[in-house]
Amino acid sequence: MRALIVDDSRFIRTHLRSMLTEQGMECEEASDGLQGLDLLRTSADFDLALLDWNMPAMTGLEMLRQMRAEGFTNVKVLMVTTEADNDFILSALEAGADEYLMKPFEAAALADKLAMLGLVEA
Amino acid sequence: MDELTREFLIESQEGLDRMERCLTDLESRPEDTALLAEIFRSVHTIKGTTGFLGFKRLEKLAHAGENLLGLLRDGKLTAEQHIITGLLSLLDGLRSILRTVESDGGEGEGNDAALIARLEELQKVEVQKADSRQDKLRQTAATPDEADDASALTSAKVQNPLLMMLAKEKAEAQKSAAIVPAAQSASIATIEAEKTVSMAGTASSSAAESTLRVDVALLNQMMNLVGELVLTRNQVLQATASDPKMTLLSRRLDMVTADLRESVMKARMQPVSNIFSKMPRIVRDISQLLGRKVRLEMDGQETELDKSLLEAIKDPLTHAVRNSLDHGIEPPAIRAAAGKNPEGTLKLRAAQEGSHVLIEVTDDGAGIAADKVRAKAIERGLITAEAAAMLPERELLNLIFLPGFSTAAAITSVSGRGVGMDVVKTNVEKIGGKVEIESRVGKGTTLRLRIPLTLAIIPALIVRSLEQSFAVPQGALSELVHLTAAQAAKDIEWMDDAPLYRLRGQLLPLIFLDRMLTAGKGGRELEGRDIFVAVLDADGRRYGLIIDGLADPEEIVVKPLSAVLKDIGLYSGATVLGNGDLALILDPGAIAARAGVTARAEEDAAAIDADALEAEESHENEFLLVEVAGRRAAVKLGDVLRIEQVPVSRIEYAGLRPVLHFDGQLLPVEDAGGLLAAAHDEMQVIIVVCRDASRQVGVAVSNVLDVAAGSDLFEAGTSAPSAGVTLLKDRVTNIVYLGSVAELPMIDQTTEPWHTAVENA
Repeated sequence: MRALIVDDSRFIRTHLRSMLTEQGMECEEASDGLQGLDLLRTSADFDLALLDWNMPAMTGLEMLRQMRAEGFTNVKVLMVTTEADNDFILSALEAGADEYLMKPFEAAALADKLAMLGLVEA
Repeated sequence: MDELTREFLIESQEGLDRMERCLTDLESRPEDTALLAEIFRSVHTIKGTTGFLGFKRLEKLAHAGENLLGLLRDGKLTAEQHIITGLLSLLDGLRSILRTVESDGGEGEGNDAALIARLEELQKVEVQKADSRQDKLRQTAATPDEADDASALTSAKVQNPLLMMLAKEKAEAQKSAAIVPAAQSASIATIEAEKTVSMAGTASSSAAESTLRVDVALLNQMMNLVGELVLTRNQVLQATASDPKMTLLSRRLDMVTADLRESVMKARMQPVSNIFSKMPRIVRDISQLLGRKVRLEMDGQETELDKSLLEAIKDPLTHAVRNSLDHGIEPPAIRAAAGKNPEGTLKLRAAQEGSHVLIEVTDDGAGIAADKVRAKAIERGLITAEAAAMLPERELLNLIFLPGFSTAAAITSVSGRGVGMDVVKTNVEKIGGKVEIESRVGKGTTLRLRIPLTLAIIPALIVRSLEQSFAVPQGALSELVHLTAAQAAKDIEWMDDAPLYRLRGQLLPLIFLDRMLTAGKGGRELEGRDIFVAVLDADGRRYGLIIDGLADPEEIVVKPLSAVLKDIGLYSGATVLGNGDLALILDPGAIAARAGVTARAEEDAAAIDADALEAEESHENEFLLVEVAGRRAAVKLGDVLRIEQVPVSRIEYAGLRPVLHFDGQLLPVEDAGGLLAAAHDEMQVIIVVCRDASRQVGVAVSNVLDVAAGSDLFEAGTSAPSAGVTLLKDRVTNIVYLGSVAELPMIDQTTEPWHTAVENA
């Protein structure tokens, strides 16, 4: 299983990476939507993309729309948000996100979401 | 501290630095959505990450800030002055908590209630204001996301009932919101701008980027290892110099080492923007406090400097900026009255010049009036009025760097604080840099800091003293003078027990390195050996260091000293030389301080010197008026080197000529009045030591009466040996004709001083 972590916070990327590695996933990182798209296009075998919302250059929502438009439909998308981004959850689900995860989260919460997406065994 | 917390701290601090830059920009462009988005994101990220680490205090504060920033970003609020001030308080609040976390791992006990309340207050006030113009906002401020949502929702395939409800509400709310194409293009512009901002900011690293975060400790270690390698290379080069088989290999080693050294040094380089970026905030705060209007221009921010040096110049630079605002740029009304733009300009410029980085702080303020500096320096007792009168204008300005120049009267909350420009100078010189000032009254002032690129490896001159090698940093060395034993005996003058050397007309205080190191008192003897004088400039002091010999210049690697050696206070470090010897690195500033050479002494010396020059050049007609056996006579003041009172017993006779042992030489003494012949051994006699062309002669006189300006010379009308007569104090006075003092007869060449005197004649 391969995961793409897209977040402008190095802290969040590091944190997510260690949790996902625990779950047996392999990770790549990007610091904004544009970089995320580049990685998607150049190595097509991602199973999961974890997208932050508020990033420079291209937001998570914009990236989500773009990747769905470009046909990356079999990549599950987990939106990583804060409670301040309530409106965003709605727009993201509209745009084709599969799940969302509210910061801060425990490793167990992430594991639950991965299980719900069928990426790891519950 | 665990890895994750450290990561959090670094990232948050970077974010806040970005926020600070944006906030100052926001003042001039309060409507700039890219800036607002960037600021929002900084605080948002902190809020989003603190939760993971359980930092409740930070989270609460960031949350309050985020709410206010959200309103700003969405255009529901305008970034007016008081809001920006509030956001700067938020920035300070967050920073102070982060500092606490950094130092003791916890958030500390502080209470942020007041700050949070203030941030909330700012929202409320503005929300009321905003309500009144809500319709307008609806029209213009629909964010791209909302606009998109509205369109997307018209064709929504909503599966979830909860989602459906939410969607309906949202669609209702936005029915009236026009989907303006302009909003779309605005959002593109925003994205572009954001990209630039994030590029300009501290590099945000990621797997996809080509930069890597490296621990400073690791870099320092690499630098140390490269230092060791440079030492080893120096030793290998010396050891293999005579072996042709090894030449190629060692040359290769030499090149690779040099390249490696440069690369590691580059890795330690950081752009000066790291400190320049703090300046907009400082300028803003101070100009508000002082009621100045100031535009800050910055240039050359990409110029790079070693990280440790960058740290070291932060305070001096901040002080210089404060000073410009406080004492340089005038209040708007005064500027306007002087016909200047009410808004002052402060320019910060950085550029690399060879192995130095030049940093300039230029203001277009009032400039520094040389007379005022002079008056103040005299008032503070830093310089005598006479000495001050001699100083050229350019040097007068340098008086502001003297310790104690800016005190009491100059203290304001901004740049007073008991520290003055001397601290700027000292700090910059401590890292091997130099400070210069240039000012034009009414036009402005430029302060120039010259900083070396790196500290760890420096060029040095290896000198010998006491059979040991010492390293003198090249940065402090201005020239080398070689004196033969004879020249040393002749040219080194003594003021009490302090030796002085006249270097191209400048009096240079001398320090014997061997005596300093052995704490020996030492007399006036130079033991008849050749010496070298290394002329050093340090901490505004200029002096000559007397050493026994010179070795090659070398690039040395500065190693810290053990505590024992550090306590001696004369050394700044140690190094291993190419020949494997250990050498201590001399600290020119500390040596000057220990020997009591002060910056002031130098000014005095300059003044004395100016006196001498003036006497020689423009006061051709000044005379020393003496009495010789009841008659008045005059000696040209320019010819007088010294007036000595000696017991008659010290006068010896070479044949029939009286001579005086003086400074290792024999002086022929003119005894026109027959004073010596009439005197007995216990009496004192006054000898005026004069210069006659290239030799020195003594004139025996009964009394020194005065110094007086004479009229034009008259032709001498008598046959007496005279250089003419002059009118001194209304009396015609003979001028002693030094040329008539006979050469010493060439007898008895066995004594060295005798020989010397003849040789020099």
